[in-house]
Amino acid sequence: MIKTLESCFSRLVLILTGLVLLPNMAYCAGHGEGVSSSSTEVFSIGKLVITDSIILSWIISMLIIFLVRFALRGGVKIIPSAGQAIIESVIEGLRGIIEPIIGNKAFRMVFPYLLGIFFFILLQNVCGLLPGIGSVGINAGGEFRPFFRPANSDLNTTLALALVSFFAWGYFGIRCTGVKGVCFEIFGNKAEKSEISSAIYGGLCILFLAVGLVECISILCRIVSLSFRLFGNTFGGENLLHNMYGFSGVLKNIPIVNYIAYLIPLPFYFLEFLVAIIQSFVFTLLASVYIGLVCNQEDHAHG
Amino acid sequence: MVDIGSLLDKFGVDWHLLLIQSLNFLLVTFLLYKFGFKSVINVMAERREKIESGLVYADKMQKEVSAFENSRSGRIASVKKEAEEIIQSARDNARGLLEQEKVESRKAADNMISSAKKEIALQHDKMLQDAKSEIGTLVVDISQSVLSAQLTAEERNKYLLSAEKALMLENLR
Repeated sequence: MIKTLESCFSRLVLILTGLVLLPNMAYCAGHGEGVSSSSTEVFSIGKLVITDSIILSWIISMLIIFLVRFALRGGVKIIPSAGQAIIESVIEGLRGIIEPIIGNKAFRMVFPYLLGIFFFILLQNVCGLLPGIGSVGINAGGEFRPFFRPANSDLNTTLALALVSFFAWGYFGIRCTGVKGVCFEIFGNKAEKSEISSAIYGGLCILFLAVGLVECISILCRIVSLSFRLFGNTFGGENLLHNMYGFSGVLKNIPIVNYIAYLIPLPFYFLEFLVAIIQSFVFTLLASVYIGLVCNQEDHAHG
Repeated sequence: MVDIGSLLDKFGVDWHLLLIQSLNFLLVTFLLYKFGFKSVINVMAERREKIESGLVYADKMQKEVSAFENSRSGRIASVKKEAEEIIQSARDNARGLLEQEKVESRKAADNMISSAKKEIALQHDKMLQDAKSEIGTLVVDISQSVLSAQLTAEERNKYLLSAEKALMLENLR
């Protein structure tokens, strides 16, 4: 316990030092070889390790809730305030895209979860662009270890989101169509029995079963694809910004060019801001497509 | 063959952290929905319903207004026609009354003229009668003065009657 407290205290001192010496530390960061691929332990409670990305994700989570509550201060009204109008426009925009994918039947049930995913990923991504986050840290063994690591540049967060999406897909699929419906969607023979002969129908049953097995692998691969896509983009962005800082640190020593050296990372901030929005949207859209494939069977059939 | 264990180790994947981040996300999603999005979604649905009912009401009102407009223009036309008929009949009545009044007033005027003529004739006769009487009296008085004699009542009546007869004869001529 004393060791844990010591570790926690030393991390805290390190963080505070880093914040005070921000410009120098940022410069030092430029000399590293890249951002560490894993998050750094800040302190531990027994076996439970608390990392820099988890602390930041908690802070951002509280910030998300605070921002939404702040936007809706004074209550939700029929004639919206400016904050409410912003949230409504995002909700309305997502609704317009997601409702046709999921279908009317499951939309009311699934939409709050998708809104949560969108806002969570968006703000966790955007927080990586805030000053000091991901850019202030120490060099440990040639690796740059930031004090505050964006949650989505830690594979644990993106994998957790992908796993939640996977279980949400199963939960909403079963709620909408039942276990039978989900199994039929994966393994079922979709051919019309009345239109073809029994022999062909039987052959198709075996074929659809085999396709179902491939589909199962595809469904399991969604966890990997969802998590690594988000992680790769965010982690790559962090590395890009880190290297641009390093580059500007090198240019700082060249006469004349040193005046614009600190402007070099600026365009990449805009790029990363765009990536943050797009990736949150892509994750939300893919999650809704996966759910829609199971829940929107009737609409597909009618379509 | 990729060693998945070492790959996960390299990225620092730990099931404790996965669990913490999953719970963190689910908690944030729940709190966001409970204290933020739920009321916004409900208000948006309520607004949509109000707008839809408002549009339906506006459409209904539009139809009612156009129907009222049609009926009003029809009624105005019929009332206008009725008014024209009333005005025409009033004009006819007025013309008839005027003619009647003219006839009656002419008749009354004729009556008045004829009665006035009668009255004038009567007055004329009476005046003549009075004049005759006065003249007779004057004739007697003059005769009495000329003759310088006191006439008796009997003689006066006799002279008076003869004077009146003479005047009557003169009149008849």
